[in-house]
Amino acid sequence: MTSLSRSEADLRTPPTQPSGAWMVVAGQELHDIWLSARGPVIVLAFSLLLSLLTYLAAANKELNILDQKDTVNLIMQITLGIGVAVALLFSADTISGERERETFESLLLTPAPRRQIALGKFLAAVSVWPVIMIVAIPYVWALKLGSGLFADAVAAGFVAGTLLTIAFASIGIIVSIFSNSNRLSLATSFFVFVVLLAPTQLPLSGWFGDFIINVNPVTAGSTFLDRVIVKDQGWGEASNLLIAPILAALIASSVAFVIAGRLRLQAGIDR
Amino acid sequence: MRRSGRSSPGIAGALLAVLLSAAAAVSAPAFAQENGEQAPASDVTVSVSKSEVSAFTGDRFTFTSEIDNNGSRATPPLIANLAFVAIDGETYVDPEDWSPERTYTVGPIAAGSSATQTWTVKPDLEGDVAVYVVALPSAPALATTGPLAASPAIHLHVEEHRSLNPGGVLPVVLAVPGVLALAFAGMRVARNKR
Repeated sequence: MTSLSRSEADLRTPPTQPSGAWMVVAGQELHDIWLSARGPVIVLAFSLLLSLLTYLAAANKELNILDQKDTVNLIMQITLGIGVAVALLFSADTISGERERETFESLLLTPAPRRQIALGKFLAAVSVWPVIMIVAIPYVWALKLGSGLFADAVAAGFVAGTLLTIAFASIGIIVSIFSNSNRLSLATSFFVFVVLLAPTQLPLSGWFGDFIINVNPVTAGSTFLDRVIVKDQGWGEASNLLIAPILAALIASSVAFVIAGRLRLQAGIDR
Repeated sequence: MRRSGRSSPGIAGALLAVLLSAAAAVSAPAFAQENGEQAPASDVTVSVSKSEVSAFTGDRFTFTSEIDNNGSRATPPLIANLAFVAIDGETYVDPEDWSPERTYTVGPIAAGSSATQTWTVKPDLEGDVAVYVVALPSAPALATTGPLAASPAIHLHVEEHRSLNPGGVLPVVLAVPGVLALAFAGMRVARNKR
């Protein structure tokens, strides 16, 4: 009887959801990224690009006219751009990639809560940012003018890059949740990134230029680096430029967290 | 009536005279300060510590300039300016790139005294360039002085610096991708062994 009543109770009680499921998912995803060719090849290609740029900046007749601060700023801007883009592309692959490879159904059948599945995938996607940042540090050190510039450049790059990486990896997950095909998810995410990145290459001036710089998280992050590294502004003076990246990170991650709880097999969310 | 008629223009004339003399009294010290009691530009000479320099692109060198007041009165406040002119007709010289500090403000130099400035130059392109220092008065006295005082030119001959290790970056440029490649290869081998 006892055993029978226990079995009935077990049947009535919903299966407990493992609280550490996100760690299992993150571990598996990290394994896929860093022990397959994907992550290492991207990081190696990034280091080769920085090696080429650093050597040209030091040796090339035209490029070495650049002030050392400008060169360090260039390296940090490229690091930030590539770090954010790679994290975005990895995150855009998370859900839609599983759907396309037809492995998402088995993942949804596990007792892992859906938000924890998304959290694990998110953490694996953003893991590329600290690696890219660590790879860039020796190049900044080689080009630095003084220890103050080195510390400012690395700290400013890390803060701006971390905020933008969180924002864009969240956007990638949101897009991926609503996409059935990986191609659509990657194209949409990359399009959003390019649209927000484009104003950094425009000569923005006047009140409209200031508005775009302050509202667009990418231009705000890029201008923050420029002010701290090149224009020697203190963090307090340039801190208003971090508002847009902070808001973007908070809003995008909150939205991703909310809709990740309603993940379903097909594109979209449960209503 | 006649007296008062005579005295009226007299008072007006006196008032006018007082006003004119007051205006003259107000403006006279400034005028005297600018023109009368300070050394004219011809009493100022500028000399430099080097006459010829050979350097490679990217090298830095320093030299000093000395502004001497040979006159009997103090100079007005001066501005010392570093100037570059390509003498080979080919070299493009952008002063911003060649020297981080190109002007110094020099306070009034007493009669018989001098002021020294130190300049740093980093030639960026190969060629032959004249480098010289000009001393000019600050704005209020600028228009009323004579010719500006310039130093003799330093003949700067710059050759292109060809190095396999420019700026000491080569070890980092080679080591970072090398270490990463080895690390990733090691991870792959370890994984395959398992």
